[in-house]
Amino acid sequence: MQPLNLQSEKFSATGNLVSHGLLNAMGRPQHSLQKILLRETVQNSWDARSSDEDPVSFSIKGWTATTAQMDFLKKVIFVEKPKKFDDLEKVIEHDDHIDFLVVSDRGTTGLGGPTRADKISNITGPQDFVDFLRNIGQSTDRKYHGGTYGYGKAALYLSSSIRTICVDTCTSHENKPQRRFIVSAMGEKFTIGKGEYSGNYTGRHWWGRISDDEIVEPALNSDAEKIASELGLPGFTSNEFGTNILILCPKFQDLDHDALMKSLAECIPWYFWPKFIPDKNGIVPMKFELQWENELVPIPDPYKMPVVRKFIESYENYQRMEKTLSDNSENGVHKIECKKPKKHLGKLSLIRFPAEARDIHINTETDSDIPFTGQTHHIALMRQPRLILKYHSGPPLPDDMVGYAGVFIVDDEVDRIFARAEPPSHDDWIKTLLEGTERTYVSTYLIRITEVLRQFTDPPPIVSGDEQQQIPMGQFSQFLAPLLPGVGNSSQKMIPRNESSLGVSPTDGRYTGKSRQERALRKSRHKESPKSIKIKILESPEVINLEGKRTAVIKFDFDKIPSCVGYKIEIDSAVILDGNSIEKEPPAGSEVPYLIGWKKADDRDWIKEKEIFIPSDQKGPWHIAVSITRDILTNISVTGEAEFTK
Amino acid sequence: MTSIDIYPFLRPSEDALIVKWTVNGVESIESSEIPHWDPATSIKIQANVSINLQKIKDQCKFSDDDIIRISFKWLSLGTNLLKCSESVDTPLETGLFEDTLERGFSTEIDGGLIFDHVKCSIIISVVNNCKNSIHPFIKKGAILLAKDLEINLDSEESRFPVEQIDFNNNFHLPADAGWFLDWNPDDLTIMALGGIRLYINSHHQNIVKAVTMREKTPVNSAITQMIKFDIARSLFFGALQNEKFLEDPDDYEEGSIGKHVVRLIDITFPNEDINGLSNQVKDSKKRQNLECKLQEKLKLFQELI
Repeated sequence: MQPLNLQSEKFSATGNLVSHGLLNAMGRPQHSLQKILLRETVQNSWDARSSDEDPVSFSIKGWTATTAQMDFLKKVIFVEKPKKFDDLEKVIEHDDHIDFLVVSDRGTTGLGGPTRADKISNITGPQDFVDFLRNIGQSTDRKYHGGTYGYGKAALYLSSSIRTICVDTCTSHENKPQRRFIVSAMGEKFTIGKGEYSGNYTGRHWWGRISDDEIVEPALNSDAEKIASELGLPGFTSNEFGTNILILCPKFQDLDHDALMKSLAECIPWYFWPKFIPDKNGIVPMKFELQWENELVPIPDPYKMPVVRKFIESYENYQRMEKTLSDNSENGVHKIECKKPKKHLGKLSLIRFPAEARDIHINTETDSDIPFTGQTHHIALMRQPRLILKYHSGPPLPDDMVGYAGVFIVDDEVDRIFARAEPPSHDDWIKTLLEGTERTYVSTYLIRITEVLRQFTDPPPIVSGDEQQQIPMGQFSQFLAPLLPGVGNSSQKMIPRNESSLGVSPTDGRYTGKSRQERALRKSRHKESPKSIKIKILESPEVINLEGKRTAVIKFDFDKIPSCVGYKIEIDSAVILDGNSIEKEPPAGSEVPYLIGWKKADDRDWIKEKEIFIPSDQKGPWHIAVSITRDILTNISVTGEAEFTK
Repeated sequence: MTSIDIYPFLRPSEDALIVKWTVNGVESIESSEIPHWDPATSIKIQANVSINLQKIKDQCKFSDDDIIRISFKWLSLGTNLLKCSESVDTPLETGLFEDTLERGFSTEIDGGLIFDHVKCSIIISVVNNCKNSIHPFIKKGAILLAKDLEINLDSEESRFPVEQIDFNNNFHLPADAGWFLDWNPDDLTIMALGGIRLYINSHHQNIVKAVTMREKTPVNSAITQMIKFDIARSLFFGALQNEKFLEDPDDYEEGSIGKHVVRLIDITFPNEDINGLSNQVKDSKKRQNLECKLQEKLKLFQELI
């Protein structure tokens, strides 16, 4: 087979982006290279899906190149070697066997459109080939695409230790299937001082078939098919479109084949679980396959991963409420809105669940690729393509027995704005990438989510009273009381015991009986007041009008005490205020109840003396007349003493 | 000293009003105590009243124009809430009333409104200003007679802190669990009343049915006994694995969880040394035996009624 032609890109008079410019465009992503590669390529495949009804197949297959494949590389692909590309030259010249890693998709459109960026094309629609292989930083103009700036393809070059990929695609061109094969590499920029090829070079190289105007174009159709076949790339059935990207000499940190494949297998369910969920027609949107040396690498089923499963449940909850306009916070779906300017930004679905054993599929060798470990208190952020951007860590719940999983999906009206806020690694939304109102939207979404999470994670108020049916538990509470045995409670009744085993003596305060000293004191007091007599009120006081005054007449008697000379009776009065309090000192100028007089019950006339002394030989009952204050409840206390000497 | 309240108007004799009280179906005189009361328990009060209207009219010297009101009110001394549940006006015009009025008043008081003591009263008051009465002193609103019943809600029995919450609305707890004992076995110096609490899942119907203890069934009894055993086990094994507790179990303040647990251990295992018990807890096999002994000591499932 005729060797491929090399074209190394020269700087134009107005300057170009050097190859390292593209490679550095990725910046310093927070994820591992294999995760970025996976996220980027899955996203590209999803963006390139041929229809919303048919599933996309995505696979990554790796193997060590056979001798024939190595020969083919040396004798057909890299016959022409670029200047200042030592890594490539070293591999081609000295390595007997290198690794191949092929990223393939089917059910996609392939890399269609024109093959050159400089020519005005009659072809309308996507220009995927040019965007992918020629232009740098080309933004997509398609709705709901995961990728945007076109820098993410750098991950493919960065995954190759010689920064070289072979692209084999089958696409529709002028309504016919067309197979295209081209090799692209990102080397060092270099200069050739003299000779036919003198000039400054960007470091970008292509191998293909040279066209009449000296531009390297992809090999086409049977030529391309034969090259791809020689390299062992997956073929295409009739009417099947898609792309194979062969990464030469793949290198991902220090991971060996097994670790790489396990890492990829681990990432797929974590970042692409929405693509495992069957649509309304029961079709699973994407099918994933990993293979090394023709051996399938098992991919964990996200439905069987305890933590991921919770995000799926949260997502399913979102789907149930997706079409409703109102806030469904009661059902766990919250509207996230920018208040000024007013804009609906998306919806957040949250579910709580009891903590369980952590996901059993964690790969300890590559656990840095697990989005998070420990208690789940995270929100899966995504746009309309439904690929996980990242897991946002929310405030943990106070109790590690319970976790929560959430899903936030950007509303379709602002999806493009959020897409533009993504860095090339598509792992965040960065407000500083935007300006004006768009920046406000992107800076607001997280504030609103945080507000919802704060409410969600705050301990709920104790629901009582009218809000919740109360359960009578007084008896149950007393039933349990023996478990807190203490001073003076009933625990002793409940559990048979040796009382001394409590270590508390009966006099330490548990018993509430009166002390010996107190009883003695009461006894002595009794001795100190032997002259008191007990006054008995015989009837309810009668209120009469006595000499124009409202007067209460109290009928009383008392038990006689032998050997006394008489009885001294005293009265004291007070008014009773609202609330039953007693007021003895009246306000200035107020009328005060006072003793008007007293008499034997049978007597007609009142004895108007301020002191009452009843000789011992007189018999009662007796009456006391007390003036009472108008419309006020009066309290009269009557005391008496037996006098033994006059 | 004998004291008497003197009203500034004429009042009927006490026997003009006779009230028979029943509280939750139990006849009560002057005062009553409700066992196991808690704020989720409502109280049903019935007052059967017999009023000698003729005596009231005569003794208070009312005219035919006067009207009296019989009211049933209750006052919670703990919450200061006062409510007049029902009242009826009775004219004292000759021929319009019978000598004796018999009437029943009843009310059900929501437990959430009351606390400490509840004072229920039947009150006879005057509706009008009695301008034409023979005795001019009586005024509108004057209380002629009142008979009270005081209900004590505050039992002398001690209680274990229990609270109901819906585990569904509480992310700390699994939604379908029955109960959760909230305490910190690492700090036994905390006062028990603030530091220990049993949460009952109000969403769990079987548990709720059992802890209300209204229906005495073997199943309900088994559930409550199991909860009690579970609490005891938690307290025992939590404390017996606390190094500070084992160092000096007597060094806890009165009222602290530590003090209560020491007593509980003394009562339950009077002849066992705390450190000896702790060693049994640390040894898995001996621990099983200890749990078994605890079952026996707490008489678990011995009587299921």
